[in-house]
Amino acid sequence: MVASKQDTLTVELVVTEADLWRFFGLLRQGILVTTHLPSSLQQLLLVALKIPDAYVRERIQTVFLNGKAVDDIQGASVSDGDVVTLSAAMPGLVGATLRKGGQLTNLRSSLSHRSLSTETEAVAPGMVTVKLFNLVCAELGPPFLGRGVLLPGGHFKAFLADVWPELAPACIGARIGEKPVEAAVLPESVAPGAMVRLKVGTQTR
Amino acid sequence: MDKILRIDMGASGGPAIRTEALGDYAGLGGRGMTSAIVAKEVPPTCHPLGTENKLIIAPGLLSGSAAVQSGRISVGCKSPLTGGIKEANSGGQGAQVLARLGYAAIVLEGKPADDTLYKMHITKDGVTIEADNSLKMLGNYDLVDKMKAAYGDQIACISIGPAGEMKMASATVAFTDPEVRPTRHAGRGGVGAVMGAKGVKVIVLDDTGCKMRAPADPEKFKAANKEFTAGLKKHPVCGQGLPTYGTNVLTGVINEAGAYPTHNFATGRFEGFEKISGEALAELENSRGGEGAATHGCHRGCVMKCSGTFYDKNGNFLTKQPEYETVWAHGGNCGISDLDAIALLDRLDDDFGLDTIEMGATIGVAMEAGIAKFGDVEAAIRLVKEVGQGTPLGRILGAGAAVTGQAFGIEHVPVVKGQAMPAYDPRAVQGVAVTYATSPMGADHTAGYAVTANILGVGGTVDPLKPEGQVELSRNLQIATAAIDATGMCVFIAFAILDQPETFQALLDLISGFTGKPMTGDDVTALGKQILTWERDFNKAAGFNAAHDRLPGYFKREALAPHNVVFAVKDEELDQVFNW
Ligand code: SF4
Repeated sequence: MVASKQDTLTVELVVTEADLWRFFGLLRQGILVTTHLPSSLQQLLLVALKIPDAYVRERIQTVFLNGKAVDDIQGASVSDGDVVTLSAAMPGLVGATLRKGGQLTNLRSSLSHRSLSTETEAVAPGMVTVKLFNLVCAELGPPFLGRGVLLPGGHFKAFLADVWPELAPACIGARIGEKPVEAAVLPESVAPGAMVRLKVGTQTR
Repeated sequence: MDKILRIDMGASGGPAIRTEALGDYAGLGGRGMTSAIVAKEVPPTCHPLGTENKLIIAPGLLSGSAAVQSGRISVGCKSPLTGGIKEANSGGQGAQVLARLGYAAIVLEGKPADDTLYKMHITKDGVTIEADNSLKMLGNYDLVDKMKAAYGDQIACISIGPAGEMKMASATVAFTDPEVRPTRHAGRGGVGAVMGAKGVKVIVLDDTGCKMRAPADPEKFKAANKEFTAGLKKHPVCGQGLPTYGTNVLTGVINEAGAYPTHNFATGRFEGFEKISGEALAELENSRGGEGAATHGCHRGCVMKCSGTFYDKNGNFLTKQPEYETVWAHGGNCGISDLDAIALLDRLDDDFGLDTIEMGATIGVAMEAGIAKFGDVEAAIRLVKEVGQGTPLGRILGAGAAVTGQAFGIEHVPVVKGQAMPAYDPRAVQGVAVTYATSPMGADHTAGYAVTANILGVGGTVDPLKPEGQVELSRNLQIATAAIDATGMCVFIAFAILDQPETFQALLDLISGFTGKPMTGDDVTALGKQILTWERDFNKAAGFNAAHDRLPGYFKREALAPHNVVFAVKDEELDQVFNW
């Protein structure tokens, strides 16, 4: 599942800060993270994703691994192909039951992730999908986009079809690889199969 | 709030108005008041649309005061949807204004001999009621415009749309918001049909010249209100998540958890969830701009502001920010991933006076029956319009999901006690399922919002490893919710009082500062238990038994993807929920 350099297209865009939120839908659909796997979920968040420890402890209150809520991010093991979802605290009984280490975890026993594998798996390069939701997306989105995120080409292609007609005129700069391009030609330059490393910087007009 | 206004709509010579002292009902508010009156005065076996039923509208205990978040109002009666007792809760300005006018409740009794429609006007100088058949079949929006033209902008309206006039079991009672728009609804259980049966189209409230209700201990009240507000503002859900995204923030996570009922509860994940998520909704609202875009309070005095304002593509007001349950009901449940369409459906529901949860669930059942295809936006809009127009098909749909399932021979009808389930699949979150099954109200999610059980300390601590824990917790949540519903407080305060003991203490101080009587967690628990006991006793006398405290059988039999879970709490355990 690991992307090779050859089939990854690098796209760099510059937009105003006010337009940055338009890329957040891509982060909710999921970014791809290449790292050595299996690893603990904590390791993935702190090392591979470079999220500050305090942020992981305090802000990220709801964590899913393959759709199952996680209480113990240190103990949960992430493998190649897994999907990790990060969210702030959620309202309601259901929100409380899904919170990590919450008082109400008994309500979702059938949904809890208990991947405390004792078997030794060989560590190898692999890829996980990480979805950023709500306040976590709004807060981690700008730095993540600033340093670049890896995306499935299909998602980026669909994003361009949906959002680009409106956003292109407001785009301050665009490059594919090293080459500056007109914002308008971006959709036809991305093949659906290729992965995309997307970097979005901001600038005032 | 020292009096009750009673109107006998069936009196000879026309409606008879009388004002009474509180008597036995002193000290009660909101759901405490509505359920006490229904339990004591309504014959449990009566027909919900008959002369013996009563419709009670009661602001919360703290409504009309300076207490933040205290503007919720309860509407109670015997429900035409469930056949049991009903309390439907709403925001809007109604609670504050009615409380400042001094009324602890309005009770509509009897029934006019013919189909004359009435409007009421309540000011500090008194109450008038007059026949006005020019209001017949007006939508809530046109009706409120007409009332503003007649009585000015400083009013609050309590009204029904055409659905209430047609006495549909999914009809709501609408309350106007601070902008005098009929966007807030006591939605569940068909309370609007009972108001329609009483022949009352609209109650216009005007508190000009009335003062805010004064606390018994102003110093204590003021300090507690400050502390309570600070507690709400610093909490990550109350102070940040809800104001930023509204309740629809749940779409993403509930979908991720595989608990998002999709295509009439066929599966737990909706492919198009991202397009209708709370994040996408807030982004859309903010990009369109306008007053109160993604953050707005449903009544003055709300500091959490979980609501918003939805403007259409051209910047014109369309509706309030649709809530999570509405986005789910008309969205994922029907395979629809278009926010503009969902907002339009919300607007139509509000205008016709229809419960968005019941309507979305009903259309989901109709789609399963082949009346329309899942994902067909135009069909969904057409079906809601048929309900508003009262076509033969619309009459069936307006009677709710259970009747629609019967009419079209569908087994997959997600209801308990005849009321449609909200936006959490009971197989994926079994604790919610226990509440759906056992709440005296029918399948109801609001008890699930009051996660205060451990703070209140009712029923001891929950053993996380035993299945009984779910039953015990559901019991505690239902007790806590009943008590909060009596105060007039928005149930969303529960997140802060769960996590922050000092905020819970501030709430107790706020109540006791207002009433002048000491208030402890035990008192809150006792109030919640009392309310539930009245409700359960009423239902028992109306013919309900343990067999009604069950989910439809297919939830035990048919596994829900993606986690392949079925509902597994045993019947005997469900029967222990009210065993305190
Ligand atoms: S938090 Fe939401 S529901 Fe509660 S009072 Fe405020 S706007 Fe109304």
